[in-house]
Amino acid sequence: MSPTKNNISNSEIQKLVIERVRTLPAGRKISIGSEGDFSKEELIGHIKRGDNIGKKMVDVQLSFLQSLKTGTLLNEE
Amino acid sequence: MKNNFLVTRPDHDLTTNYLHYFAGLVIKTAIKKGTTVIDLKGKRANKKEFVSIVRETQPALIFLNGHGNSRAVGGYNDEALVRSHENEILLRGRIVYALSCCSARDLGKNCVRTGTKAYLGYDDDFIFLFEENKVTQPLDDQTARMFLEPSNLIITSLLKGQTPSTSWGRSQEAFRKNIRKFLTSESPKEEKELIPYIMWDLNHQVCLGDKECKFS
Repeated sequence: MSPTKNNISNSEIQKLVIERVRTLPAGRKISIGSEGDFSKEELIGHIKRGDNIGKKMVDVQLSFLQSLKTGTLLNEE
Repeated sequence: MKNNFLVTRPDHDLTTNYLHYFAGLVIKTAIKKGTTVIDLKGKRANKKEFVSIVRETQPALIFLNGHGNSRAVGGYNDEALVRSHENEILLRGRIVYALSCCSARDLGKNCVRTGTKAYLGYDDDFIFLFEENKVTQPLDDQTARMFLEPSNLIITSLLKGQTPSTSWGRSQEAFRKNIRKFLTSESPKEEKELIPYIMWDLNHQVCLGDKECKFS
Protein backbone atom coordinates (compact mmCIF):
# COMPACT_ATOMS: atom_id res chain seq x y z
CA MET A 1 0.00 0.00 0.00
CA SER A 2 1.24 3.47 -0.81
CA PRO A 3 1.78 6.03 1.92
CA THR A 4 -0.67 8.95 2.16
CA LYS A 5 0.50 12.54 2.17
CA ASN A 6 0.74 12.32 5.96
CA ASN A 7 3.01 9.29 5.64
CA ILE A 8 0.42 6.90 7.01
CA SER A 9 -0.16 3.98 4.71
CA ASN A 10 -3.61 2.62 3.91
CA SER A 11 -2.78 -0.59 5.72
CA GLU A 12 -1.85 1.41 8.83
CA ILE A 13 -5.17 3.25 8.63
CA GLN A 14 -6.94 -0.07 8.25
CA LYS A 15 -5.17 -1.43 11.36
CA LEU A 16 -6.02 1.70 13.32
CA VAL A 17 -9.71 1.51 12.39
CA ILE A 18 -9.84 -2.20 13.24
CA GLU A 19 -8.37 -1.49 16.67
CA ARG A 20 -10.94 1.22 17.26
CA VAL A 21 -13.80 -1.05 16.19
CA ARG A 22 -12.49 -3.79 18.51
CA THR A 23 -13.03 -1.45 21.48
CA LEU A 24 -16.77 -1.13 20.85
CA PRO A 25 -18.81 -2.16 23.89
CA ALA A 26 -19.73 -5.85 24.05
CA GLY A 27 -23.24 -6.90 23.04
CA ARG A 28 -23.74 -4.02 20.62
CA LYS A 29 -24.26 -4.06 16.89
CA ILE A 30 -24.22 -1.29 14.31
CA SER A 31 -27.05 -0.53 11.93
CA ILE A 32 -25.87 1.07 8.69
CA GLY A 33 -29.09 1.82 6.87
CA SER A 34 -30.06 -0.60 4.15
CA GLU A 35 -26.62 -2.22 4.29
CA GLY A 36 -27.82 -4.09 7.38
CA ASP A 37 -26.59 -4.55 10.93
CA PHE A 38 -23.16 -5.78 11.88
CA SER A 39 -21.27 -7.17 14.85
CA LYS A 40 -17.73 -6.07 15.68
CA GLU A 41 -16.32 -9.21 14.10
CA GLU A 42 -18.34 -8.74 10.92
CA LEU A 43 -17.22 -5.10 10.66
CA ILE A 44 -13.59 -6.10 11.06
CA GLY A 45 -14.04 -8.56 8.18
CA HIS A 46 -15.48 -5.80 6.00
CA ILE A 47 -12.63 -3.44 6.89
CA LYS A 48 -10.06 -6.09 6.01
CA ARG A 49 -11.77 -6.72 2.66
CA GLY A 50 -11.96 -2.99 1.97
CA ASP A 51 -15.56 -3.19 0.72
CA ASN A 52 -18.23 -0.48 1.02
CA ILE A 53 -19.05 -1.26 4.64
CA GLY A 54 -15.35 -1.33 5.52
CA LYS A 55 -14.80 1.99 3.75
CA LYS A 56 -17.73 3.49 5.64
CA MET A 57 -16.16 2.48 8.96
CA VAL A 58 -12.89 4.07 7.85
CA ASP A 59 -14.77 7.27 6.93
CA VAL A 60 -16.55 7.36 10.32
CA GLN A 61 -13.38 6.83 12.32
CA LEU A 62 -11.17 9.15 10.27
CA SER A 63 -13.72 11.94 10.36
CA PHE A 64 -13.84 11.52 14.17
CA LEU A 65 -10.05 11.59 14.49
CA GLN A 66 -9.86 14.57 12.15
CA SER A 67 -12.39 16.45 14.30
CA LEU A 68 -10.24 15.79 17.38
CA LYS A 69 -7.26 17.18 15.54
CA THR A 70 -9.08 20.31 14.35
CA GLY A 71 -11.03 20.82 17.57
CA THR A 72 -14.38 20.53 15.78
CA LEU A 73 -15.68 17.45 17.56
CA LEU A 74 -18.98 19.05 18.53
CA ASN A 75 -19.44 20.80 15.18
CA GLU A 76 -20.41 24.03 16.91
CA GLU A 77 -20.73 27.12 14.76
CA MET B 1 -52.79 22.21 2.85
CA LYS B 2 -54.20 20.90 6.13
CA ASN B 3 -52.60 20.64 9.54
CA ASN B 4 -52.41 16.88 9.20
CA PHE B 5 -49.30 14.96 10.16
CA LEU B 6 -48.41 11.90 8.08
CA VAL B 7 -45.98 9.26 9.32
CA THR B 8 -44.62 6.30 7.35
CA ARG B 9 -42.98 3.63 9.49
CA PRO B 10 -42.36 0.21 7.96
CA ASP B 11 -41.10 -2.55 10.21
CA HIS B 12 -39.83 -5.27 7.87
CA ASP B 13 -36.33 -5.61 9.30
CA LEU B 14 -34.38 -4.81 12.43
CA THR B 15 -33.44 -1.26 11.49
CA THR B 16 -36.92 -0.25 10.34
CA ASN B 17 -38.38 -1.93 13.43
CA TYR B 18 -36.31 0.39 15.65
CA LEU B 19 -37.39 3.44 13.64
CA HIS B 20 -40.99 2.19 13.80
CA TYR B 21 -40.99 2.05 17.60
CA PHE B 22 -39.27 5.40 18.11
CA ALA B 23 -41.62 7.06 15.60
CA GLY B 24 -44.42 5.72 17.79
CA LEU B 25 -43.21 8.03 20.58
CA VAL B 26 -43.46 10.99 18.19
CA ILE B 27 -47.01 9.98 17.28
CA LYS B 28 -47.95 9.95 20.99
CA THR B 29 -46.62 13.50 21.33
CA ALA B 30 -48.58 14.61 18.26
CA ILE B 31 -51.82 13.06 19.50
CA LYS B 32 -51.35 14.68 22.93
CA LYS B 33 -51.01 18.00 21.17
CA GLY B 34 -54.28 17.40 19.33
CA THR B 35 -52.72 17.00 15.89
CA THR B 36 -54.47 14.75 13.39
CA VAL B 37 -52.07 11.89 12.72
CA ILE B 38 -52.18 9.60 9.70
CA ASP B 39 -50.06 6.59 10.58
CA LEU B 40 -48.93 4.42 7.67
CA LYS B 41 -47.29 1.68 9.68
CA GLY B 42 -45.95 -1.73 8.69
CA LYS B 43 -47.34 -2.96 5.38
CA ARG B 44 -49.44 0.19 5.01
CA ALA B 45 -46.24 2.06 4.28
CA ASN B 46 -46.49 1.20 0.58
CA LYS B 47 -46.41 3.51 -2.42
CA LYS B 48 -50.03 3.08 -3.48
CA GLU B 49 -51.36 3.94 -0.05
CA PHE B 50 -48.83 6.73 0.50
CA VAL B 51 -49.69 8.51 -2.76
CA SER B 52 -53.40 8.14 -2.18
CA ILE B 53 -53.24 9.36 1.45
CA VAL B 54 -51.06 12.36 0.61
CA ARG B 55 -53.50 13.45 -2.11
CA GLU B 56 -56.54 12.85 0.05
CA THR B 57 -55.39 14.30 3.39
CA GLN B 58 -52.96 17.01 2.20
CA PRO B 59 -50.64 16.74 5.23
CA ALA B 60 -48.56 19.84 5.97
CA LEU B 61 -45.95 17.79 7.81
CA ILE B 62 -44.57 14.40 6.73
CA PHE B 63 -42.24 12.13 8.71
CA LEU B 64 -40.67 9.40 6.58
CA ASN B 65 -38.96 6.48 8.30
CA GLY B 66 -37.28 3.81 6.21
CA HIS B 67 -34.32 2.78 4.15
CA GLY B 68 -33.21 5.21 1.52
CA ASN B 69 -30.55 6.30 -0.85
CA SER B 70 -29.64 9.60 -2.44
CA ARG B 71 -32.61 9.43 -4.83
CA ALA B 72 -35.42 7.76 -2.86
CA VAL B 73 -36.99 6.99 0.49
CA GLY B 74 -38.49 3.56 0.95
CA GLY B 75 -41.43 2.08 2.76
CA TYR B 76 -42.37 -1.52 3.51
CA ASN B 77 -39.91 -3.96 1.94
CA ASP B 78 -37.98 -0.93 0.68
CA GLU B 79 -40.55 -0.04 -2.00
CA ALA B 80 -39.74 3.56 -2.97
CA LEU B 81 -42.45 5.90 -1.69
CA VAL B 82 -40.85 9.05 -3.07
CA ARG B 83 -38.27 9.04 -5.81
CA SER B 84 -36.34 11.90 -7.33
CA HIS B 85 -37.54 12.95 -10.82
CA GLU B 86 -40.56 10.66 -10.44
CA ASN B 87 -43.03 11.82 -7.81
CA GLU B 88 -41.33 14.36 -5.53
CA ILE B 89 -44.03 16.81 -6.62
CA LEU B 90 -46.22 15.01 -4.03
CA LEU B 91 -44.26 16.80 -1.31
CA ARG B 92 -44.81 20.29 -2.75
CA GLY B 93 -45.80 22.85 -0.11
CA ARG B 94 -45.04 20.50 2.79
CA ILE B 95 -42.40 20.20 5.50
CA VAL B 96 -40.66 16.83 5.39
CA TYR B 97 -38.35 15.03 7.78
CA ALA B 98 -36.78 11.85 6.41
CA LEU B 99 -35.10 9.55 8.89
CA SER B 100 -33.48 7.67 6.09
CA CYS B 101 -29.99 7.28 4.66
CA CYS B 102 -28.61 9.75 2.12
CA SER B 103 -31.95 11.10 0.83
CA ALA B 104 -31.11 14.76 1.48
CA ARG B 105 -28.26 14.50 -1.01
CA ASP B 106 -30.34 14.42 -4.19
CA LEU B 107 -34.02 13.79 -3.41
CA GLY B 108 -34.14 16.50 -0.73
CA LYS B 109 -32.56 19.07 -3.02
CA ASN B 110 -34.93 18.14 -5.85
CA CYS B 111 -37.92 18.32 -3.52
CA VAL B 112 -37.00 21.85 -2.47
CA ARG B 113 -36.43 22.80 -6.10
CA THR B 114 -39.94 21.57 -6.96
CA GLY B 115 -41.70 23.29 -4.09
CA THR B 116 -41.28 21.31 -0.86
CA LYS B 117 -41.19 23.99 1.85
CA ALA B 118 -38.41 22.39 3.86
CA TYR B 119 -36.66 19.03 3.70
CA LEU B 120 -34.72 17.80 6.71
CA GLY B 121 -32.75 14.59 6.58
CA TYR B 122 -29.33 13.05 6.12
CA ASP B 123 -26.88 13.46 3.27
CA ASP B 124 -25.09 10.20 4.12
CA ASP B 125 -25.91 6.98 5.96
CA PHE B 126 -27.78 7.30 9.25
CA ILE B 127 -25.90 5.01 11.62
CA PHE B 128 -26.95 3.80 15.05
CA LEU B 129 -25.79 1.24 17.56
CA PHE B 130 -28.13 -1.03 19.44
CA GLU B 131 -28.03 -3.66 22.16
CA GLU B 132 -28.37 -7.21 20.89
CA ASN B 133 -30.45 -8.24 23.89
CA LYS B 134 -32.95 -5.41 23.38
CA VAL B 135 -34.02 -5.99 19.80
CA THR B 136 -37.43 -7.22 20.88
CA GLN B 137 -37.92 -4.13 23.09
CA PRO B 138 -36.37 -1.28 21.12
CA LEU B 139 -37.72 1.40 23.46
CA ASP B 140 -35.73 -0.13 26.33
CA ASP B 141 -32.52 0.10 24.33
CA GLN B 142 -30.55 2.90 25.94
CA THR B 143 -27.84 2.70 23.28
CA ALA B 144 -30.20 3.16 20.32
CA ARG B 145 -31.91 5.93 22.27
CA MET B 146 -28.67 7.97 22.15
CA PHE B 147 -29.12 8.21 18.38
CA LEU B 148 -32.85 8.07 17.75
CA GLU B 149 -34.03 10.53 20.40
CA PRO B 150 -31.88 13.43 19.18
CA SER B 151 -32.81 12.60 15.61
CA ASN B 152 -36.55 12.58 16.30
CA LEU B 153 -36.32 15.82 18.25
CA ILE B 154 -36.53 17.51 14.84
CA ILE B 155 -40.04 16.28 14.28
CA THR B 156 -41.35 16.83 17.82
CA SER B 157 -39.99 20.35 17.63
CA LEU B 158 -41.68 20.96 14.26
CA LEU B 159 -44.93 19.62 15.73
CA LYS B 160 -44.66 22.20 18.49
CA GLY B 161 -44.63 24.95 15.87
CA GLN B 162 -40.88 25.57 15.77
CA THR B 163 -39.21 26.47 12.48
CA PRO B 164 -37.05 23.94 10.59
CA SER B 165 -34.01 25.99 11.55
CA THR B 166 -34.80 25.86 15.28
CA SER B 167 -35.85 22.20 15.11
CA TRP B 168 -32.64 21.23 13.36
CA GLY B 169 -30.64 23.26 15.90
CA ARG B 170 -32.35 21.50 18.82
CA SER B 171 -31.64 18.11 17.33
CA GLN B 172 -28.01 19.04 16.74
CA GLU B 173 -27.70 20.22 20.33
CA ALA B 174 -29.23 16.97 21.61
CA PHE B 175 -26.64 14.96 19.65
CA ARG B 176 -23.90 17.17 21.13
CA LYS B 177 -25.31 16.68 24.63
CA ASN B 178 -24.98 12.89 24.20
CA ILE B 179 -21.41 13.29 22.96
CA ARG B 180 -20.57 15.48 25.98
CA LYS B 181 -22.08 12.85 28.27
CA PHE B 182 -19.64 10.27 26.92
CA LEU B 183 -16.70 12.69 27.09
CA THR B 184 -16.93 12.98 30.86
CA SER B 185 -14.55 10.96 32.97
CA GLU B 186 -17.46 9.13 34.66
CA SER B 187 -18.42 7.54 31.39
CA PRO B 188 -16.99 3.99 30.94
CA LYS B 189 -14.12 3.93 28.44
CA GLU B 190 -15.87 1.53 26.08
CA GLU B 191 -18.98 3.74 25.96
CA LYS B 192 -16.81 6.55 24.63
CA GLU B 193 -16.43 4.48 21.49
CA LEU B 194 -20.00 5.44 20.56
CA ILE B 195 -18.90 9.05 20.00
CA PRO B 196 -17.66 8.69 16.39
CA TYR B 197 -21.04 7.30 15.33
CA ILE B 198 -23.11 9.98 17.08
CA MET B 199 -20.80 12.59 15.60
CA TRP B 200 -21.35 11.08 12.14
CA ASP B 201 -25.12 11.54 12.38
CA LEU B 202 -24.69 15.04 13.82
CA ASN B 203 -22.49 16.05 10.90
CA HIS B 204 -24.67 14.56 8.19
CA GLN B 205 -28.04 15.89 9.32
CA VAL B 206 -29.14 18.75 7.08
CA CYS B 207 -31.94 21.28 6.75
CA LEU B 208 -32.86 22.37 3.21
CA GLY B 209 -35.38 24.89 1.92
CA ASP B 210 -37.30 27.53 3.85
CA LYS B 211 -35.72 27.45 7.30
CA GLU B 212 -38.28 29.80 8.85
CA CYS B 213 -41.60 28.22 7.79
CA LYS B 214 -43.85 26.58 10.37
CA PHE B 215 -46.30 23.72 10.84
CA SER B 216 -49.07 24.96 13.07
